[in-house]
Order: sequence, then structure tokens, then C-alpha cells
Amino acid sequence: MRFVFLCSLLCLTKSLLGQDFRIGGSIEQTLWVSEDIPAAFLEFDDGVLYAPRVSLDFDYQPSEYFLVRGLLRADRGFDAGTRPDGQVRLDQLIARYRPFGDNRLNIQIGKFPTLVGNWVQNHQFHDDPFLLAPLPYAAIVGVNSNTPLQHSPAAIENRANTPGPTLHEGKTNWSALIWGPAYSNGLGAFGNYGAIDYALEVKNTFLGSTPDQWDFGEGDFREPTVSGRIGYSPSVDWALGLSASHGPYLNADSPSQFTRNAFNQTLVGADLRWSHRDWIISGEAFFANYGTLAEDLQTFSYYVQARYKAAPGLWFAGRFGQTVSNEITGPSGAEVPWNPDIIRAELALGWRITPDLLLKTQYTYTEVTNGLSAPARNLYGFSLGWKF
Amino acid sequence: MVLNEKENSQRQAATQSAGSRLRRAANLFGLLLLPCTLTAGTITGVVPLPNQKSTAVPVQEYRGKIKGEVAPNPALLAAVWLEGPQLSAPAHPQPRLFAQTNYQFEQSLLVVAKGTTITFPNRDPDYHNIYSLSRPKRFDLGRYKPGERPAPSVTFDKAGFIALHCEIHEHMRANIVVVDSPFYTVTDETGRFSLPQIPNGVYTLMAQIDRKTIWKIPIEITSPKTVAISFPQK
Repeated sequence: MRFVFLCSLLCLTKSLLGQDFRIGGSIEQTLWVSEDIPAAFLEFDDGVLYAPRVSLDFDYQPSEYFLVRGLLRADRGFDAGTRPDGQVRLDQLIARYRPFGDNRLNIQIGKFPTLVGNWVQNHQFHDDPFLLAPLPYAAIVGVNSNTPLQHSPAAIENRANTPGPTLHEGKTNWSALIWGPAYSNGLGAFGNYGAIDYALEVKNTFLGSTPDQWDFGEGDFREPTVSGRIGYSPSVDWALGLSASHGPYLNADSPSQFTRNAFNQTLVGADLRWSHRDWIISGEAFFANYGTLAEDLQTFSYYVQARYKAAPGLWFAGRFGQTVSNEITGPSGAEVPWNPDIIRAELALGWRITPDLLLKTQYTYTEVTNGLSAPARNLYGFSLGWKF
Repeated sequence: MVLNEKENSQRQAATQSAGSRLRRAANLFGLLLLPCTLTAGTITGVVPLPNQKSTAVPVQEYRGKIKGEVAPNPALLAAVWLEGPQLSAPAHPQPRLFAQTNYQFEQSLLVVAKGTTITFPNRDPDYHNIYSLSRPKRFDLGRYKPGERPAPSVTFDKAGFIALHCEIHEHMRANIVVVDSPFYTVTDETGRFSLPQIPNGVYTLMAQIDRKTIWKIPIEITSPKTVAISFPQK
């Protein structure tokens, strides 16, 4: 009902504002099949997870200086299956100002995806050859956003020595390197000067925070997360970028006696993209450091992917990703892992049946090599998306 | 009198002979003029184009995909052409260009004869990826650079309506109408058109704006005059 009401409101606004107000959208029907809960999921039904999603995006651009844009979604949770009874969510709402009326400087305020990295620019269903986000944007890391006590050497050693995987359970207590595409809220600026492009954002919460921290009113701007990216494109084939981010990883409402700004995620990343004719090859690598009560936790995650268009409307894609992390010294003196080391390989096939109707399938193989987690190894995804 | 009759008959014979020669000469002249006479008909008219208000520059989530400025959508146009059992496309139609400039196709619609090769030069500082999934011609040019040599090209060897898209810039749309006829044109922005030098004959005058909006009007050209046609509103 809420979604229908909001749709009606958008249609009414369209009738009032005319052609400057544009409404589009998409419907995606996705089916996931796996023998157990896979690495990239918080919830999973018995062997099969049905994840429908309706998206409505709208923008109002009365002049070249000003833009309002929003993205409204109805689905079973941002992470599929976490809201089995359905959820209506505003994933984006921005007001953008272009003081020069061109791309040199865009200033925006609101709720928007992170400007870090190069995947987020292509994460929408019809742009991304895969159904899953790349490994650095999708895998849980052993950093708890509620309390730093979970990162004490004793707690880490205890988890490492507990029989059976532990991080596998209660995933919502843990964060990600980047919980892609990180629709948190704040202020951003981006633009380009010839071959150079830049982006800077100040947001309410860190890149790896869970979606419930992204909404307006969440987080705390007294201790914001500052992120940025500088990009260079020597020719249209190549695009390179360097990203960085720094901000507290504890939730602003976490019941903690510790000050947030003593526990920061500091992330640096590099991205690369090459494309020509039927090929697009891209990759990203991120290194993150988490300050704790004892030793810093460090993790490195990367992926490389390629898409090849074999025929009009038909493509194949492959991706390989890996996450490795340091070990810390436990109270016993032993070196113990704090984060799952993961290898992930993916194959995808996309068939654009019409310009607006796209069928995507994906197979994912995931392996945790240090025993801290035991996700399902095999995951199959099938999805049909129609945009209007 | 006899002489006169003789003279008369001689004169008549001479006159007839002269008339005959004149007729022969006239016929010969007429034969020489025949092609001109046959191609003298002109069809003019108006296709009712839908109202197209000045719209905002289309901006979507194009961060990193657009370095320059996006031009407004090009004006709507209609294709107009003649069909007839005796008509077919020229054997070797002239190649055409269909460029992309300021993140738009240079016009919203192009009409070409069957067998035409169209080159798609990119005149923007970013990649374009033009493709079509329309039945008469499915193709995908992949990502190609500004100034790329040779610019990608496609030969349209089947008549029909072809919708063009850019995989990178979703707002970019254009159409190509491929016709099996030597007589075709595209309207101006007000819908006006002119098809000159049409031979006498019975035809079907066709007009098309998009995949679904098509007109067919039977038409006969019998004299070297201008025939005015107004397509009805749909």
C-alpha cells in the first residue's frame, strides 16, 4: 500500500511538473539456488531464495544547474531475504547543484551511493554483467560495528578456536569492507577536468556499515566518514582511479563506552578499467586497516572481471576475487585469524532479449580457506529484469 | 481547276508529308522528352508529428560516463517513401553517415534505401556503443572511440524499421527506416516533405514516425504536377 501511495504521489508530481520530471523504473525477478546460506547473503530460505524487486527512479531537472533525483524500491530487503514480508525503501534521494552548469563541479546532498571505486558507477541491474556485487562489496568481514570488545585478542582467539565456523552465524552483527553500494547519507562533490575526474564525500557512516545505518537520522556527523576518489583517463580505453576513506566503524547508537573516533576504518583502493569493442576488463583492490583496542586488523581484497559480447545482446562474463587478512597474536601467543580468507570465482551469462528486457544467470563458487566461516560453496542465480 | 486540284492535292500531300514529318519529329522529340515527362510529378505534404516540448537535458547516473555536455533530444522526424510493385532500391545506394555528437544521434531518424552502408562515427570524447535488436538488422558495434578509423559501419540489407540504442548512454535513441524504393525522404521538424521526380504510376505513399505509427495512402501520378497530401492525425 505504501509503495502504491508513493507511486501515485510521483505520478501526481509528474502531472504538475510536466516533462522536466521524469519517472522510470525496473522490475527484477531473481531466483537464487544454493544448498546452504551463501557467503554474500544474510538470510536464505531452504535451498531457494526468491528475490523480486520493483524500482522507481525519478529526477526533476528544471535547469542545467539543478537536479533532484530519487530511487524508491520495494523488495524483500536490501539484502535479499532479510525482510521476507517486504520492504519499501528510499535508496537514493539527492539534490544536486552544478554552479557552472557543466560537469566541472557537481555538489550534492542527500542519500546516495558511495563515490569510491569504479563498480558503483555500473552497479545497476542493466549495467552490471553479474547478479552479485564483487567480493570487496559483498563479503562479511570480522569487524563488529557494535562493540570493539569483539576485536580484543581474547575474543578473536576464542572465535578462532571455537569448533565450527562462528562468523558464519549472526552476520548482521558484522560489517563489510564496503557494503556496496553504501547508500548512506551526507554531502558529496564530484566532477571532471579533461582526463581527470574527482569525487569527495562526507557521510554519516563508514563504507562497511549495514543498510540500517544508511537512513536519514542515523549515524553522527560529528564523527563523519570522509571518502574520495581521483581518477585519470589517459584515453577512452583506460580509466584508473585511487580511492581512500577514513571514518569510525562503530555505529553511532552502539551501546559502547568507547569513543567512536578511536576505532576507525581507513581504506585505500585502486581501480582499473579497460574496454574496447566487445571487451570490458576491470578490477579493483582495497586495503583496509581497523584500529582496535590491541593490534590493528588489516585486510586486502581484490577482484578482476571481464565481459565479452559474443553476439548482439549476448555476453559472457567471468570474475575472480580474493580476500586475505593479517593474523593477530592471541593471549596464548599464537597467531590467530580474525577474518575469513575467501576465494571466489564467478561465471555469468547475459541475454538482452529486447533493449529493456534482460536475462542474467550466474554461477558462483566460494571457498573460505582459513575455517572462520563455512558458507555454501555453490550458488546459482537466475534473473529477469525489465526496465520501463 | 484540275491544276488547282492537283496543286491542292500536291499541297495536301506535301502538307501531310510535312505533318507526318512533323509528327515523326515531334514523336522523336517526345521520346527524347519522355523521361523528363515521366519524372515530373512531385508529391508534397505534411506528416502530423506529435508535439515535442523542449525537455530538460537528460541526466541520469552518468558519473564517469560523460565528460562533455549532453545536447537536448533531437527533433522528431518522419520517414516518407513510395512503394509499388515496380519499385525497388537502387543497386548501389550511396553510403551514409550517422554520427553521434554531444551524446545524441545527429538526428532522430534516418531513411535509407535497402543495401545502404551506414557509418557511425563517434564525435564525443567518450565511448559510444550503438546497437540494435530490431529484427530487420541485429547488430552491436561494441565500444568505439572518437575518431576511430575505420569508424564502425553496418550494411542494411533488409527493409524495415530499426531502433538504435547506445549501451552506455541510455537516453540516446534514434531510428532508421530502410526502404525498398528509390523514392524516399525525411520530413523537416514541422512534418513537411517533398518527393520530386516521381514517374507516372500507381503507388502507395508511406509515412512512419516510430515502430507503430505508420500511414499508407494509395496515390496515382498521372501528370507532371504537384500532388499535395496531408496525412491524417493518428
